[in-house]
Amino acid sequence: MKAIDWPGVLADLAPIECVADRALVRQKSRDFFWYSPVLNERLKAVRGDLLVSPASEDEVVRTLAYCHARRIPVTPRGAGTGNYGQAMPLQGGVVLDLGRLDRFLSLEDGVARVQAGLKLGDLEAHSLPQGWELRFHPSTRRTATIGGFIAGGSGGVGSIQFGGLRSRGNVLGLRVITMEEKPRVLELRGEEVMQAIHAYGTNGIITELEIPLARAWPWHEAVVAFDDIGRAASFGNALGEADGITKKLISVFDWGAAQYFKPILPHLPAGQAVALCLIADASREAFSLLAGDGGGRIVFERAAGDEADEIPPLYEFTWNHTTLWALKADRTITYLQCLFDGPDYLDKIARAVAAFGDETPMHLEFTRIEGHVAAFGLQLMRFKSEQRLYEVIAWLEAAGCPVADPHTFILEDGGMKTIDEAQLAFKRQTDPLGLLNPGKMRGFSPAACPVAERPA
Amino acid sequence: MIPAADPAFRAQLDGLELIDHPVQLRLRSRDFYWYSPILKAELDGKAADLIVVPRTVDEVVRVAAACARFGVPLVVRGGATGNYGQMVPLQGGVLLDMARLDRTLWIERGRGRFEAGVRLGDADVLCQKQGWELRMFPSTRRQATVGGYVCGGAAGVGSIRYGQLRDAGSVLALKVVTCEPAPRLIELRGADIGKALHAYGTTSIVVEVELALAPAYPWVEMVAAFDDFAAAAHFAQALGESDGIFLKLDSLMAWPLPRYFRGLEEGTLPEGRHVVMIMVAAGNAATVRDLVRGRGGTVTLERRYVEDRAITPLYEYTWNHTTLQALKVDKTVTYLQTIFPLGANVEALIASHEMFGDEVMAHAEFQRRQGRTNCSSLQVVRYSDEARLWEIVRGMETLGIRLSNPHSYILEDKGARVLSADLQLAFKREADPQGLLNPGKMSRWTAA
Repeated sequence: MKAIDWPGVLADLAPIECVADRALVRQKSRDFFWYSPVLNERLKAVRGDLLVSPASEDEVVRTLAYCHARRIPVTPRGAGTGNYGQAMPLQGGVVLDLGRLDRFLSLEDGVARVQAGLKLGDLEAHSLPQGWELRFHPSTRRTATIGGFIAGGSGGVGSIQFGGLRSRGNVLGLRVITMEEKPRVLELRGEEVMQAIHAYGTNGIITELEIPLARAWPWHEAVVAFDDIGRAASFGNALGEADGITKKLISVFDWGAAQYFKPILPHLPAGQAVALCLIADASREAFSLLAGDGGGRIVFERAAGDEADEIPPLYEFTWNHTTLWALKADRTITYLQCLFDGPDYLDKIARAVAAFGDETPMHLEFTRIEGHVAAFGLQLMRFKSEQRLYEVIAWLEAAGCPVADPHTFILEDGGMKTIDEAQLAFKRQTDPLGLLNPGKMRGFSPAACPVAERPA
Repeated sequence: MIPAADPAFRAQLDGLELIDHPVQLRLRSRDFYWYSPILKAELDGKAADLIVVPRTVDEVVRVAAACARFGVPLVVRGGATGNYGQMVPLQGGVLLDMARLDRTLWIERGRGRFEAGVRLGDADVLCQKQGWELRMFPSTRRQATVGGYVCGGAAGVGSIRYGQLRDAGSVLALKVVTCEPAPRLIELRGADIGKALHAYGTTSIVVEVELALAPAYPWVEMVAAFDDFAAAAHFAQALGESDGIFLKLDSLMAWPLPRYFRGLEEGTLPEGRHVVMIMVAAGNAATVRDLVRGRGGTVTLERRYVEDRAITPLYEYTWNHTTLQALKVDKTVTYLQTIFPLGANVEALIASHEMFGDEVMAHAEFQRRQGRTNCSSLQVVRYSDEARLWEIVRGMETLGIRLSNPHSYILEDKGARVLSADLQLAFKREADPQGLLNPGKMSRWTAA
């Protein structure tokens, strides 16, 4: 098989914007995989060969048809804010940067139709003046794209109201381009969207999507301090289950995690556990009473969106940003990702705290899941070895806390642990040769037709 | 002479709007207690001796002072849309009709403050003009008042999202007037709200209400029909548990209940089928359609919710209107009001449907309770006699279904939690030491 002539590809694809500069392509081949020392070892050398930045859907179709004909792998990319190498081209080839597909197409009855490369913050810049906001967003709201979130994310700030991307009703439609000789443009609607949500772009390139928004509230930020993580977690649960209190974020940290929140540290009492919350302005009074009843003390509050001071929005300390703050201070830290669920989930949290203490400083994100309140554990972990990491993971699994391993780039190993048959079947239709983001979907083996060889 | 007719007492009320025409006294002293044959027998004929229609809080204070000085019972009336005689004066006296105390004081940042006599429908429309709406309202939205709702109601259309009125954060403040010779004005906030919330006006006179609002959504009304009751019940639960579907109403009616409903478009209520009535944010209408189809049902109605007097809104077939719609057609039915076991409510619903067949037509209102989806039920019962009614209740209890007795005007019979009953009793001693406010409703009250 012949090696690819990249300057030739670049010329062929013109006038589609392409960059072959090695440093830039390498930079655009990476995400936040280095949160994980395991992934860091495995992925640090990964880079694509050519960065292609289509400005229209037609250019996407043209790029895919061209790459299909030459068996060139294509890995789509939003803003590269993933944490498990979701958008990293394991086999090189084209990195398809969708950032120029950034149009806000329409907003009607609270349903937004947008192009995939629109940044979440820019989406809200369009919708907020009309009184609508995202139902939920990742902590990377200011940088991530909506397409990247839907293809690589799961939930975030607002999931305590609306659940996650996989909860029915949160994504209404996806427009997907297939990787075939003649790429097709598919409109997935209703349940069909699940075929491509959180599939890392392995089974089609998402170019447009339709999501229902939430009516915007005036939100209020508050930090509540507690003597210990147990009280803070109980408060998180009580707040989550308080139907009369409207909230968008309930994040709970023990001191071992909160100690890294440098800009807000002057407000945090040393040694205490904290809950970082976003609540509707109208719910402030009930919120502070509930905090007091739970043994908490409000140590910081501010109207959301008011970032005149040095402190970034509170949500930028939560979800996957938490680990980032810790890593800024201590490069030996990594993290876990598990679900505390079931009627005894607060007990499970207590047991995990007791078992590992300061080795895994607790970080909880309360969420709605299947109609009730539960918590994701995004514990920090003082990394010693891969072996120890998987001992802790095995303990959590055995304790009834399913782990979505953040130390693997394999789709199935990160989330459900089983092959998603619908996603796999969809891939067989949309990418029979396995050229899209190859190496991520374990269940797939391409129809006998190896990809083009990389030049040395 | 009855105290209310005492010229010295009437002199205290000089300048206020007073009504003592016997027909008015009889008409305005009633609510919808006649849903219950038991209450009908007990409450027919009960009436106030004098109606006072205050226009300001100061006028309310004058009435309260006069009643306290002369020992005259005082009962507050909102829209009189209650179902258990909450506002029926058992011992005569003054009926304080709040209909003219109807100013909206302010609406801002998700909160609204209203005088007690503002009609819920009017409050809602005013809020909508500023981008907000009521979090919840009873099916009597067009007649009921804000004050009547917080004093006599518990939940309603919107509870599938926002829970109950008593959940912290729903009602933000109540301004109350005490019944003393020198009445005090007290602002209740936080946990103190429980002193007057759902107390039938036995503990004080609510004159202002501050509510948490919701941002206004464009709503779609839908009806889904199912052949199988269990499928309909599981659908209604699954719908309520769908965190990504933004709902306002999720009501299940077993056939033959829909047979009683008049005024909906042809084909909405197919013969023999169980229906779920839904209000959903317009952006999720397609999601609901998919879910209905996936569960073997059919969408028989889908229309935009609009504020229009000429159209009967879907919610006027739900909550306590369901029984009313049935009673309009068949005077022999009555109803129950029951609370279901959390986590096992659907199973209990199906079991009770099987246990009683058409004698007890299942009607469940799905709502959030402690962060989860549960239902309460307002079953419509083909009434034979009181003995049979209690037999049905006992049968329900074997399934874990508890009665919140709608055939009693006694406050504590509604399953009030001990904590709030204690709080209310203690507050009544302070705010109505003579026991003049809505006498006979709080069973634990004994005059000091």
